[in-house]
Amino acid sequence: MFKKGELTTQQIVILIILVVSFAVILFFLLRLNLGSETDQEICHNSVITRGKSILPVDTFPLQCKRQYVCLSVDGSCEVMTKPEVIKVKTKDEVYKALADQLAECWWMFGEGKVDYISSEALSKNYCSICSQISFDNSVKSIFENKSFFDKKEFYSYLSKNKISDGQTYENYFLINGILNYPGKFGEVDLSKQYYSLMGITSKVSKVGWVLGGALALGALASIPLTGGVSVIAIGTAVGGAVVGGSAGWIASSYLLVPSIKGPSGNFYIPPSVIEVTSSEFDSLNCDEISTSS
Amino acid sequence: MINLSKKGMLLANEVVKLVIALIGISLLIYLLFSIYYTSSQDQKLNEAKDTIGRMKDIISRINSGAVSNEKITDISPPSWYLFSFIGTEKKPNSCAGENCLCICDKVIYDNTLWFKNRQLNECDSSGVCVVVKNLSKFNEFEINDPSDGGTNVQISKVGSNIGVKKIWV
Repeated sequence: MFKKGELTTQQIVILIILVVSFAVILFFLLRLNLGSETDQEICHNSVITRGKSILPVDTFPLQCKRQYVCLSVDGSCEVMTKPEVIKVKTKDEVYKALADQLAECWWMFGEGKVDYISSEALSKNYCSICSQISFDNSVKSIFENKSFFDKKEFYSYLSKNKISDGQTYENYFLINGILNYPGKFGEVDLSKQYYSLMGITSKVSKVGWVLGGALALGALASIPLTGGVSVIAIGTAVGGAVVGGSAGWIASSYLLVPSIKGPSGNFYIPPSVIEVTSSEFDSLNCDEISTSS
Repeated sequence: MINLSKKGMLLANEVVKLVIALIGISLLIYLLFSIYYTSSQDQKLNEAKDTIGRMKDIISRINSGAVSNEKITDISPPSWYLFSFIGTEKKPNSCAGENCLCICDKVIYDNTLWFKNRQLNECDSSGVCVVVKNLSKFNEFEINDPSDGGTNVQISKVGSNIGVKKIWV
């Protein structure tokens, strides 16, 4: 005889099956690694929320985390712990992996259409480091055992290749005409680590204009090239940031980052590959890094 | 007819209920502990950021030649450790392959059996690091609570490198 409310063997078996099924589903969900996708969505949503809000932007903090990415031929990566490993076999695959990192960064921060920074008395650069990229030793074999590649080849890839929606990376990043830059583009050293980053320059508030803040717009002083793209160059010979003049570029100068005016009206540093803890990074004069590591 | 089923079934019922109750209570305790731990860790992380910021300023001053050594007294957060990651040893991702100084909680069971790089991950996810290209290696040390005498640190120029050591003032 069973008492009312007692569990039968059948119920216990069903209970165990349910628990085991739940554990199996949970295991496969975790294996799918949907988390990284969610991090990007969360970041994008926080950027859009800040941009659209009528409240002060500081009411909504940016919720963007830095990703750690390692490019590798054989799938191993000794230089980072627990990175997202992207397997590459050709130069184009290396460029595509980098371009996709930049595209993801550009998308997360509103593609130049969103002003997610409040106006200030003095214009400031707000940089966002979307990912930190390293190259495994095995990647050198792709570049004929050289330990670097020319950034111009990468920009050339951006101008010729299309992202999924049909436009080229160059179009998407609003850097049309970047290949017309007359100086050197610099190199990517495969033994170093690089940031995939973008930046926004805050607009000058009414108070700032009254106080003569118009001059502060020079924070990202730049010389127009073509199609509204400007460039910031750094002179290796003289050190520090040097802006190239129309009369000619310093012979040893090389392209640091382009500077563009986005549809939102702000100036932007479009997504770029910049060496970690380098003079190039310092030259960007990032007042604040709006992503957490 | 054998009269065993009733006794056996009762026991199974009680065990299942007990197990479910234990799982429920454990989850609740885990949840409460997580909430407390997260808020406590956030506070410690902010303290670590302050400390590392002060150390970074001192290192800049020493590297620029303005001073040759400087002391910081009663650094925080208590119970966390100062680590140096130098040369070819494996470093936290936030060090970007460069020599660096980190303040983070110390983990137990690192690089034994299947526990790999736990300290590096801890410093990456819940600690703070600063790149010091010319940092000299030092043995990790714990930050003491001010009630236990606190921890004072001296940062100085050692040749062309930066040395960090615990001192008793």
